[in-house]
Amino acid sequence: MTKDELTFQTEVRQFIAEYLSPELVRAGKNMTSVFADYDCALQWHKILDAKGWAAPAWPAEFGGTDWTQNQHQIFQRELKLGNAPALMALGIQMLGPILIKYGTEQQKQEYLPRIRSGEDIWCQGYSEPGAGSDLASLATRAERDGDHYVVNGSKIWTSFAHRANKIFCLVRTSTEGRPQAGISFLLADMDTPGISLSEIIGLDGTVEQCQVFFSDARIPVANLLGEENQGWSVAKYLLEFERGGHNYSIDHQKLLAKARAIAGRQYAHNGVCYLDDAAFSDHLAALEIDAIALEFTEQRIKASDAPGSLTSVAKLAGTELSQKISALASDALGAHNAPLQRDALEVNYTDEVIGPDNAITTFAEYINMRAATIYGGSAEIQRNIIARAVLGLR
Amino acid sequence: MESSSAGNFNDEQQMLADSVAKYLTETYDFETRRAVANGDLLTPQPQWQQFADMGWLTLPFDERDGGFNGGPKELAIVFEAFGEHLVLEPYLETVVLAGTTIANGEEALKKRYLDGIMAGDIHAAFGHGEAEHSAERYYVATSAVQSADGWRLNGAKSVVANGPLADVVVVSARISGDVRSPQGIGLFAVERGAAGFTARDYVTVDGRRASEIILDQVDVGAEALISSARETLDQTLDLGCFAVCAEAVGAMQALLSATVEYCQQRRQFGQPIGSFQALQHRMVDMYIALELARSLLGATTDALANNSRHSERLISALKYRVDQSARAISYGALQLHGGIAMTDELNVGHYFKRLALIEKQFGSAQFHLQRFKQQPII
Ligand SMILES: Cc1cc2nc3c(=O)[nH]c(=O)nc-3n(C[C@H](O)[C@H](O)[C@H](O)COP(=O)(O)OP(=O)(O)OC[C@H]3O[C@@H](n4cnc5c(N)ncnc54)[C@H](O)[C@@H]3O)c2cc1C
Repeated sequence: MTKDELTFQTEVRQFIAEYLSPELVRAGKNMTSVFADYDCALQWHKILDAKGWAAPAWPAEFGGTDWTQNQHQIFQRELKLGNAPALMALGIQMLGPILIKYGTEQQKQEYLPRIRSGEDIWCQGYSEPGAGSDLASLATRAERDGDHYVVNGSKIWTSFAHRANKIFCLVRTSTEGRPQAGISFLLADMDTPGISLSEIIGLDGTVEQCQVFFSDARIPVANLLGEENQGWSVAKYLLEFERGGHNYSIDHQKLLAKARAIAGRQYAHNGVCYLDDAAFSDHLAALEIDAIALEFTEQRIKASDAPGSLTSVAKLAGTELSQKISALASDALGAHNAPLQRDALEVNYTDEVIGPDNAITTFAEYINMRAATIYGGSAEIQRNIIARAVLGLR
Repeated sequence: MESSSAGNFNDEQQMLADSVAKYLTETYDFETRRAVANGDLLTPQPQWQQFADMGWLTLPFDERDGGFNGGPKELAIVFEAFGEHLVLEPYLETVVLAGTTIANGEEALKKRYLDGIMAGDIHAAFGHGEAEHSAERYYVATSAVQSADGWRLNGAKSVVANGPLADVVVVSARISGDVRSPQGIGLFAVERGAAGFTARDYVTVDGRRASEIILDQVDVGAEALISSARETLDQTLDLGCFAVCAEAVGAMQALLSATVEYCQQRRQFGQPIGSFQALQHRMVDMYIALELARSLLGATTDALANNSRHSERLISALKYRVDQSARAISYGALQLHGGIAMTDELNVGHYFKRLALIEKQFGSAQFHLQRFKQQPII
């Protein structure tokens, strides 16, 4: 780290020490998926915004920062390892960059400040019951009627739709030509008449995804982002952020620390704790090696103007590694995976937990991590992309 | 992709297999199971009495005690079917673990509990694991000290499955030796109502029930000591281990079938996703993982039935293999189902959760690897 970077790190640490309350830390620690407690996430979002740090990756003219890549990396690492709750990121990390690239002046002015301040919470309506991996086959129809589109259809697996007041979605505006050619990118208010949702209970027993229904929902044509029938290019630009924008290596550090903490306390057999068991610790070491390899892969992506294929490599290797580490943590936790302790994940829970403190998150985290190779382009789709685009196999 | 693991059945075994399969197929669908999972923590599952009426609860007990005299093959038949239907009822705890242990006890003790267990009136549990030592087979810090007219027990047991319903809990307590000594561990029948017995009851991530149990100066009579032989503890834990492995094989079979069926029916890119070679190969690997586990289950069943000196080694081999296979199959099933796998509504994730907990029961992978290595080579 350079001297400037050290100064910056100190500044971030001081900020965290001052503003990240014990309750917010609890919300960060108790995360079992990419989402934290809603109220805490929002509270932290506002604190960051007041400092000008809610959307640091945006250009400074839109309220971002002019940090270097290393500063971004330091910032993210300090927040994550300091157990800050994750922000609801779809607006900041995904919609923001495309608004900046494709949005009209009016759209930028209308939406960007509200994303940055946390006033608007966005969800992403791409997938449909019939269109998952084959996203281009999506069938939600948007028909032009004067200044509005009349939208009919349904979106599924929409994360945090029940907490969002806005949705960005892909809709079909034409059935001519290639399926990709008739897709448009629309922004909508969740309280638009004709938009409704049903919550989906996840495997861990909580609600994070929803199905969103459009029934003659009238959405102003002014809410089109990019040109009509150009939605596919807009979305592809966005997918780059979904796949490459994430620092998996920081996740790995946190997951490894947790696995180690559990393995140092729980016994594998006859007086030998997991950390001291040869087979277990070899396995852990092998995963640490992969984590280092991935960290440097991410650095190469950041240093490159055209990361292209490495982005898919990072997403694939990064998610699969997260899954392996969380499985190892769950292994070491042994019998203490069993108690269902959803209450204990609430930030204001005060009773004693069953088993070690980290027992409350480990199993849910392990389960939820299985989704990381499904969303944002499944592992199989990523492999297809690498095979075709990188290795030239067809 | 059928052929049961237990190999050839005689007529009686075939009847048992048919009756269990028929009952579960007809009455234990996923919604029924969901209702069982959501049932009141302290109320026995409504199906339990039917299990008793069909005679299932007498299965492993001696004819002289009024049992069916079933062996490992019968147990495997029942547990495979339980796994396939994700049965939640505490058969493992009440009948296999507590029941067969109590069957080693004095007549008075058997009279008090065994008839009731077989009739479905008495519920039981087995409390052995302690805090961070649950994977250590012989770690017992809970103490048993001889008193004027019996024993006084002190200690704590964690994640005691079926604890909330159990009228009687068979707990391990140390009579002599170091906390990790395989010798000197007694198995005691303790009633939940006993003075000094407290339990924190909860549901588990796989829809079952368990308790954290504290024994604070609990006095039991002399007859409460069932056995202090290392063999009794080993046999009980190995039988439980064997039973959950059979259950896992049933669950893995169900997961593989569900996945193959789903991939034939789900279409993306204008074709069934099962037509993609990447997915075909993954399902083939799942199938291989299943069959390897099934083969070891069959071998272990035979070894146990013949009282072979290789049974211990085989049980560890089986458990280790089942853990590996369960992982390969449940990860594959989730991945190939895509987003829908991650919902509470679909049964696939529930199989995953059950298998994940089976992996963590009856000793860690490391324990079984160690024991396998230490046993004589066949
Ligand atoms: C936790 C979670 C959160 C999500 N959040 C959102 C969200 O906020 N917004 C949103 O729009 N969507 C979201 N999704 C949906 C996600 O993007 C889809 O689940 C994903 O695109 C896969 O689609 P699918 O579920 O329909 O599976 P399918 O496409 O049906 O895939 C099933 C299986 O087939 C495989 N497969 C498909 N095609 C091929 C092929 N050509 N070659 C080889 N294998 C193939 C897949 O890899 C997968 O293993 C979320 C999903 C999850 C699990």
